[in-house]
Amino acid sequence: MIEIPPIMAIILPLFGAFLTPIVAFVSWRFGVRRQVCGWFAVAIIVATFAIVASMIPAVLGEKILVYEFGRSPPLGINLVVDGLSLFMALMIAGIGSLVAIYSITHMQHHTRLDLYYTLLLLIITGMMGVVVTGDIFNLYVFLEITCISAYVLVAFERRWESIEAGIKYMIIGSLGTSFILLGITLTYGTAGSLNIADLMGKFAAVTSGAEPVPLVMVLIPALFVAGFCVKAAIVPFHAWLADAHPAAPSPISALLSGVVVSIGMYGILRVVYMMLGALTIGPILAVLGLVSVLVGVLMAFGQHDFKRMLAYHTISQQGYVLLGVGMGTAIGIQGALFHMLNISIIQALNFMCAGAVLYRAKTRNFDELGGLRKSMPVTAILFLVGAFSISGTPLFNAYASKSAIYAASASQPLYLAIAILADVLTMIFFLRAFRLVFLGTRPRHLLSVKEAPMRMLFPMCILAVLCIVLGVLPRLGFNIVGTAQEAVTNPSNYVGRVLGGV
Amino acid sequence: MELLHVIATILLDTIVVYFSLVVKRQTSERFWSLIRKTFWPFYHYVKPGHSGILSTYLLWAVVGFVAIFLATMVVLG
Amino acid sequence: MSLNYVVAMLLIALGLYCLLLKRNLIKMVIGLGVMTDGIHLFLISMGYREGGIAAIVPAGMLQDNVAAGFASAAVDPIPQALVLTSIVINICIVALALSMAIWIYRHYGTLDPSEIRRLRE
Repeated sequence: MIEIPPIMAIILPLFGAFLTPIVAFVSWRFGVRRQVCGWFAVAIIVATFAIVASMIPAVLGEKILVYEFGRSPPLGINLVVDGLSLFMALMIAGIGSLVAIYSITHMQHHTRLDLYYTLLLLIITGMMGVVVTGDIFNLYVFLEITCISAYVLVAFERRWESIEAGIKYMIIGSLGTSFILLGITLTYGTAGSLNIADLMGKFAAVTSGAEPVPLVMVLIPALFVAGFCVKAAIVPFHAWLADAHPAAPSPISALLSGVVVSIGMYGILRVVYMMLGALTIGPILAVLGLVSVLVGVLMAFGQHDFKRMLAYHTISQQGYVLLGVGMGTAIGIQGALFHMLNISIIQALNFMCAGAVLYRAKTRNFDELGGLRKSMPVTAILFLVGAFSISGTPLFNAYASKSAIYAASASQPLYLAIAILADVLTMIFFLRAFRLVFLGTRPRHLLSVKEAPMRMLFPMCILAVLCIVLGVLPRLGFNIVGTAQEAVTNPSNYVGRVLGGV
Repeated sequence: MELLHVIATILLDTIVVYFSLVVKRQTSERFWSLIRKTFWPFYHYVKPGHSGILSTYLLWAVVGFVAIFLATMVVLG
Repeated sequence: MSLNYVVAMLLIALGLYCLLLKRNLIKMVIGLGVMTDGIHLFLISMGYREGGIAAIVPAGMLQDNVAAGFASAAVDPIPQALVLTSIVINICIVALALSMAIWIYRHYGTLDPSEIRRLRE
């Protein structure tokens, strides 16, 4: 048994994904109920969360864990877990396990469930690989694993909507990964190495120098920013998200909106910010973030589809994260990381509520919904928690992170004004959605709607409790992201540990 | 500064909650269609621009990359 | 060897042209394939060395222990490994895109992107 946790965090879901069809086949032969593969997937993801959690004491004690395949860096491939990687891995494993528990009840009437759980485990493997790896081509490979599983999961139900959304996601996403591959190609040609720590050392001299940089050094950050912004759904690369997230099955919408979009943001932090030392292109990132904030919020207004409105708000909140990253100060990075954690929790909660309404009322259209608060009271309260959280109300979690982002962008009053305006608009649109779905009179075809099943409410309650806990104790939230922020602003620790060896 | 932020947020939020949840449907709909009127350029040009045609979206992606490239060239010299 | 790089750039430009401006999903997938092939050609050409030998150690060299000159004479094997990996990933993507195109034809009856727009705004 290999006792190094970083490699186990990738191997466990990977082998789980390969074993799931076998488990499903064996359980079918023995006539057991169909959900065995579901509980198997839940067990695997919870075990992954336990493995990742076992790395917390080591990383919080300022140690960086390195696992080497074969030769030592910079020659071989290695896995590196520092504060930022651990933070993202906890987010992925936590939200992944809650989504798996939710999907046992929500997907129980679907056929081909072994395919669904295999893909769910593969997408968790891919995301774990992206955040844990220390080699840039390995990052590309695991990013492709994540994205291919996401394309298939979006088109899972094979209705016209899912297939159209799937192919649009796939073509635009492939263009994005082609940009990243071209960026990796040029990086290898310029620097001769693929190891992120090695590249940090080699690029540090170029981007901080005073003389004008060669053309290829302008092309590389532009390609990486464009490629990762396609994955993170920043305007003008955002057009796939509003089609893909509603069309996916509801637990997958929660996973995609919460975590898969944050993988693009992790790419920008790790590759563009840390590796290329791109403090000088911070203003460009801030402008991109600002435009995303505004476009996301305003496009959400005229939507008739519940999940489509929530998807546009994902674009808007990811814009806030990019605004914080682009500002470059320590408080900006801290606010951006904390906001990434917050919106993964909040958007997962919102999409799970929308999924519960879809499961019971069989419709997503605002014009057909209404007056559900009497028969779905718990879902209504949980959605209210999500609505107040995302708009930055005090005592809920996004308030502290948004304050940090506002404090960071206070040096540019125009950015601050637009961010606050979008904040107010977010609250307006969410409360309008709440009113359209839960208040008002109930139409006749919804008279027999009951409350969502208990196993679906359980992950939603955990997420809502997390929202309130992080809101009442923002110190806790900032402590959680403190190590990650240290890791981002001081890459010399990373370089010294990986190349020096201990 | 912090206290000012908290007070301003709570004030704004109560106003929004009042108009969204408490006031009658017709009044609040009239109030919020003001938003459509203030952001008219957006709702006339950008929203119908999301036409659903895949080739348009890919064109946006490539134009966005070229814009980021030119901006990086200006910033990095 | 700059001819390689020029052709690779031409392939990338051609693939991008096909991807953006053609009105048929199959042609767009072909354009995507051509573009990734251009990137692969670019990557392989970067490892080339004038008058170099293939990066496989012949059996005689290990016995005679003259491997010291090998590293300066061989072409770089890393881009070859990267391109092999990338070709495999690309096969997966093209297969998936083509099967989705088949489903689109079943649902919509056409492969024109300007007709496949029931999800808009």
